[in-house]
Amino acid sequence: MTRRTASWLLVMVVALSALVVAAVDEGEPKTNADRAYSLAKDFACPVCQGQSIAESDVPIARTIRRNLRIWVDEGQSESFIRDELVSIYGEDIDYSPSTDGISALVWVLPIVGGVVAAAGLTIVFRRWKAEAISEASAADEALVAAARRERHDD
Amino acid sequence: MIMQERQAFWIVLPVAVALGLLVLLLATGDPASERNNTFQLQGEVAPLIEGPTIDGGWFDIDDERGRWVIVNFFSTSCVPCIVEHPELVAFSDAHDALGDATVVSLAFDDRAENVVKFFQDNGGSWPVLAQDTGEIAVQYGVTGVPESYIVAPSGVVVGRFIGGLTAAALDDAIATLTGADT
Repeated sequence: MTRRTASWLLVMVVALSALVVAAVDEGEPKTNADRAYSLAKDFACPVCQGQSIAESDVPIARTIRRNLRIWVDEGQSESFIRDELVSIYGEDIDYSPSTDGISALVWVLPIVGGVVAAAGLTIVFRRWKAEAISEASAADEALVAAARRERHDD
Repeated sequence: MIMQERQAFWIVLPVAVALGLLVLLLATGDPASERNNTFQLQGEVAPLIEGPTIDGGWFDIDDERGRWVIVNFFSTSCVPCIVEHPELVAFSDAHDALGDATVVSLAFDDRAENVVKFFQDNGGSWPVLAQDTGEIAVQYGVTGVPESYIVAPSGVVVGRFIGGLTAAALDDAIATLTGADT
């Protein structure tokens, strides 16, 4: 393994580690209030543009926040709460797209695109690299020799 | 170079197709502006409304089976609610005599003392719930006030009014729905 390859590997390991830590290390909500607030961030305010229930201060968002707290205090599961709100306000309220039906493509397509792009780029870069180190032809050498002569003459 | 361009094309193509499908999928969804039109309760049994009324009584929507119920969510500080109130009074007065329909009002994000004063000042003799109505409002899918739901004599939610309503609009809706409800 060359030093350059090792450097790239190190960069990849650091980047991946940072992503994993960022995704996993939010920590479990410690109290019911934390859990209710965390859930509120996962749902869109039904009457606002681009605000979650946690962010919005319109009456219905405040009311839903209070309901989330009641459900959490009652010990209801996250899936129960999600199903309940979706059944009342429709799927648009849920910021996490469904993993069923055609909506699942929202999860699948970016991954497929990324994998195809990464695989394709890897193959092509290798091929281009192999082409780049191929030996110079007689015409190439003649061209270089002519250029050198011209420079020497100057 | 031509070979490299061709290779690049075959990489870009599937990625572009994937991204295009993603954009198509997102673009063909319901726009956010139409979210308010979602009415999930249509055809469902009306969520339970049960609790103390501001006149010291008790209301249970299940006791109203057999007649139409207008479930009205309002707030004393909301101008359209103030404007629609006389219409609800007119509707209630007309149907109290017939006994075929009633109104129940639920204060939304409001203080009980304000609600009591509002009804003293503006009239209205139907049941009014002013406490712990938030959970009921969410069960009905309320998005703002005034918002009213028509519950058929069978106990099923059959209509919704977003914004202020009139007695005539309520009568028209009930007349239209009468044939549909059994």
